[in-house]
Amino acid sequence: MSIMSYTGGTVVAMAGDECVCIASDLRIGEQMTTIATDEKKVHKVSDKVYVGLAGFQSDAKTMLEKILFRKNLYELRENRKVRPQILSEMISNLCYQHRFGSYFTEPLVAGLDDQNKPYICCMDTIGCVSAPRDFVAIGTGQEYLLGVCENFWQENMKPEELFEATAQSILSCLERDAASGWGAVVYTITKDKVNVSTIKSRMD
Amino acid sequence: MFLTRSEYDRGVNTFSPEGRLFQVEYAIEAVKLGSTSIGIRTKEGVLLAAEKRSTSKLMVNDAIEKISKVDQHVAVTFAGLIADSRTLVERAQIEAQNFWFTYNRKIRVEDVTQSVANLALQFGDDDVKASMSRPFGVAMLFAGVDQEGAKLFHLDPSGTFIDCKAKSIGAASDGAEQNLKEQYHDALTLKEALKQVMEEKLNAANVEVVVIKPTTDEKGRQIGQFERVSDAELDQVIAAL
Amino acid sequence: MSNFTGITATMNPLAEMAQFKQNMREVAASPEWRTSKLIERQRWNPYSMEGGSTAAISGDNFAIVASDTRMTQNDINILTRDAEKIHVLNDSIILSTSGFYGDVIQLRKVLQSRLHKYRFDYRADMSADLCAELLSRNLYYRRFFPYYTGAMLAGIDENGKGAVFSYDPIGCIERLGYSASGAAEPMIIPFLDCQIGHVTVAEDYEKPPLTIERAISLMKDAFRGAAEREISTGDKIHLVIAEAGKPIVQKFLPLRED
Repeated sequence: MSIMSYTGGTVVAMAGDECVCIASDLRIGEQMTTIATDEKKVHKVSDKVYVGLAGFQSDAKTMLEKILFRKNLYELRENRKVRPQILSEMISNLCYQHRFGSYFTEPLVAGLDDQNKPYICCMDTIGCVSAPRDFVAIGTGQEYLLGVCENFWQENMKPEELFEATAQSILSCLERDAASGWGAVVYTITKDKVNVSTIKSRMD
Repeated sequence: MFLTRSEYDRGVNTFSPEGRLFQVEYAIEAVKLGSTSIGIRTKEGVLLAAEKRSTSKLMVNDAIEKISKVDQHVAVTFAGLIADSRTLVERAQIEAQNFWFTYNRKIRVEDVTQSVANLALQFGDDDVKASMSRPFGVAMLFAGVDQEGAKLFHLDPSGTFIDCKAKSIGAASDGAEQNLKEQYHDALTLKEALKQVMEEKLNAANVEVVVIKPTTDEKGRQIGQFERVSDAELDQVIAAL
Repeated sequence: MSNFTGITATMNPLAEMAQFKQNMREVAASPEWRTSKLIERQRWNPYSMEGGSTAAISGDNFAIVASDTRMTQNDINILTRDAEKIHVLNDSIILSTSGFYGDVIQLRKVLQSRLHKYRFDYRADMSADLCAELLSRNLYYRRFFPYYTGAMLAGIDENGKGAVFSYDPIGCIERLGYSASGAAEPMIIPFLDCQIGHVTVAEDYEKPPLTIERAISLMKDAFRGAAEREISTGDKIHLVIAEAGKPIVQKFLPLRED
């Protein structure tokens, strides 16, 4: 079994009209054994910037600390809030610095920039960024998600529609992915506020 | 028939000038030497009854089995050379199990009869195949209940099989069949059929009776259930006659 | 692999520490999950995978089966854009297979010949239920050198209902409402779960009935979504529709060709 699916976990992000959604499941496992059922893989980095870290969760934890470290340093030096585009570049650099002994985690960035334009991207373990305009998915349920998202995503979705599409997508994925599950948490980031909702899925 | 036999009944598969296969016809005659068996089809299932003729009082009557189980839903009885019937019954049993194994479904009564009929004409005096050198000397009655309902088939040594409502084979078949013709009607019940069979002044010791009653399998499909009628039940019927 | 070789109880603490560090270095240099990959050697492989996907949906009185028609080599080269993965075996049975195309062809031939023989032996066409069991047996006969195929059998059963049977390569059979197999299976299945299985909505949510039109339109969506992301799926949708009491209809619809 690959180290990338050792703990399991899935993160997905979708972009809408001046809003983005980022969602993750809540399971942590050791291969087939479930260890915890309340582990969010999405983390707040700045007001409207969130990071999702799938893959080996021990590495993800360390990676998160390093990301926050660099982001704090950036905000202190520049005296301004970090934009998601900048953050993804920072994380990509961080990943590539460990090119020959990488952290086994795939980062995903989702947020709104200072013009409230949505930005989503994901990268591989060594920081190769892919920033499409529609949706990104990482983790053990990636394939399951891409198939459903492809059918759920539409141009210029409003926050309510975007939430529905993201929630339905991740729920469909959790139905089939044994390494992820035990409910999901969905963050809907709009220009005024961030809406957090926890949803139930199959609890097995 | 007897005038021309000297030339043409030596080879088992040589036609006479009149177009007859004497060995097959003799095989059919052999059936008439066997003890009598009767099959009756009713709406409530099929009944098979066989006479057990013990030639000596030193014989253990219970050891004779004249009605064999082919599968849960098919029974067969036979008249003629009993030893031959063993081969055919085994073929029927194998065919039934093979069908069930391949398709997870009980074989139809007609198909199991067909497969035995195929064997009936596989004889010959060459030794190309390891088959029989002469026709089988038995007639058989296949009774069962499948998806299509209660079935009764008569198979003779020539491999011909016929769908029957009621049929008798063996020594007393002519008389028995006359009786059946007179008394058979479509609304016959199993109990009436049993009584009809027992009219021949028999007792529990010299008759063997099997009924196949319709039932449903776990998927709700119609199928039969093989049941031997016990001596006690037979005595009851006899007493009521 | 033991991480604590060379440490004995009588060692002095300094030597013990040095040995421990040595062991740690070795483990860090070649952790177990990496070495296991290096042990793998190239061997001749009797199987190949020509990609492509198939899916099937059954309804009350119909079954529809769809597949793409692309055949790929190593997921990179397109060998043909007209490889059919769906085979209509008789008036009520449709076989749909993905995986190793050599095995797909062999499996189809085996079933066709068994159906042909059945027609003579039992004087009737085989029903989908019987063929489903037969396929299961035939796959298991090759338990230790399996047909490398994700087979599905669809059609109209003996009761006039739509049926989809799904198999693993060694004959484990399951009758399902819908199924998918092949390269884009992980993409198609959750979509059908959501739209037909309604697994993501509340119990009391009003669910649209599965009509033949809806099933066809879902099937198209599923394949268009899969072709968007999965490289070995594309070119054309081969759609086969079986409706109780009607002849089987086959259609080809365009799909991405890149």
